Amino acid sequence: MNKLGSENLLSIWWFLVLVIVAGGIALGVFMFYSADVDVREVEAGIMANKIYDCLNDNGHLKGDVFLKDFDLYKECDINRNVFFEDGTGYYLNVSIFEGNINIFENHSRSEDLKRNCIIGKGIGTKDFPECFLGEERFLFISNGVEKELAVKVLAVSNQKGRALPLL
Amino acid sequence: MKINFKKKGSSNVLGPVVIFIILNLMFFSLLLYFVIKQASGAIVYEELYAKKIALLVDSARCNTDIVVDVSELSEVLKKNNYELSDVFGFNSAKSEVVVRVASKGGYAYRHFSDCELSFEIIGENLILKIGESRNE
Repeated sequence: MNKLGSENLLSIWWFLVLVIVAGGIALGVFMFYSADVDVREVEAGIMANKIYDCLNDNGHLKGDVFLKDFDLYKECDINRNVFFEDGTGYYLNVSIFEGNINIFENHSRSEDLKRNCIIGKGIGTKDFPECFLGEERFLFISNGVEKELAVKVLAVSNQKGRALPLL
Repeated sequence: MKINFKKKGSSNVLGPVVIFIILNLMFFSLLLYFVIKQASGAIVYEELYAKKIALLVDSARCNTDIVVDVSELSEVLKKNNYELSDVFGFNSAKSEVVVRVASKGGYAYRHFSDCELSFEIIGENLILKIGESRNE
């Protein structure tokens, strides 16, 4: 019991504590809700699945894949421009193997994304592009002989999205 | 924390304690209000829906309709005095899904699908109409 009242309930120190607690909570909430919802890996998976879906013809690889005028993007209803423009956030590489021999390859422009994704996987950082590497086996009939081909798809996304200006 | 109890004048004892409790309650109420406001903020919804719709569009085949329940937006829209029919948009030149829950700002996310895109609002549902391929 202090008759002089030196320990006031509403002391400046108590308000200082409140300000520190409030500041900490406000900062935490702000950081949490301003964090990006990262869907790049999901997006890369969707990209790869879309390729498999359009190359598949009842378990067989579509016959026209090896034709000269085969356009993967057109066939799969994918917008070619978003893969080949400057500073694109997408990369796609489709390779078909017969055993160990690469018999088909189609890739988009930005090889940097592929390299950065591989580096990113190695060092485990979230600032690098996210990728999805898939391998599916398809049957293919060539000259009456049925073969098993491995289709490898590497899809990379580094899309961040953008907030529109407030003006 | 110590509370000063005076021997005399018991009515004076409760005064500072009551003020202390009221101020604390006020402070934590304000803090709670801030947290709830942030959690139900427009920015979160705009980003969430733009990405959700872009992924739906990318994963769907052409000539597909998808129904998306957007009822959780109605409270935010009411607060911002904004109509559900103005929230969603497609920027076909940039292949973007645009979501805006207020008259200013918004969020845009790209998609790689080459199908024609349009939408319709029925009640509190967004009907995504993924049309013909633009290649054909």
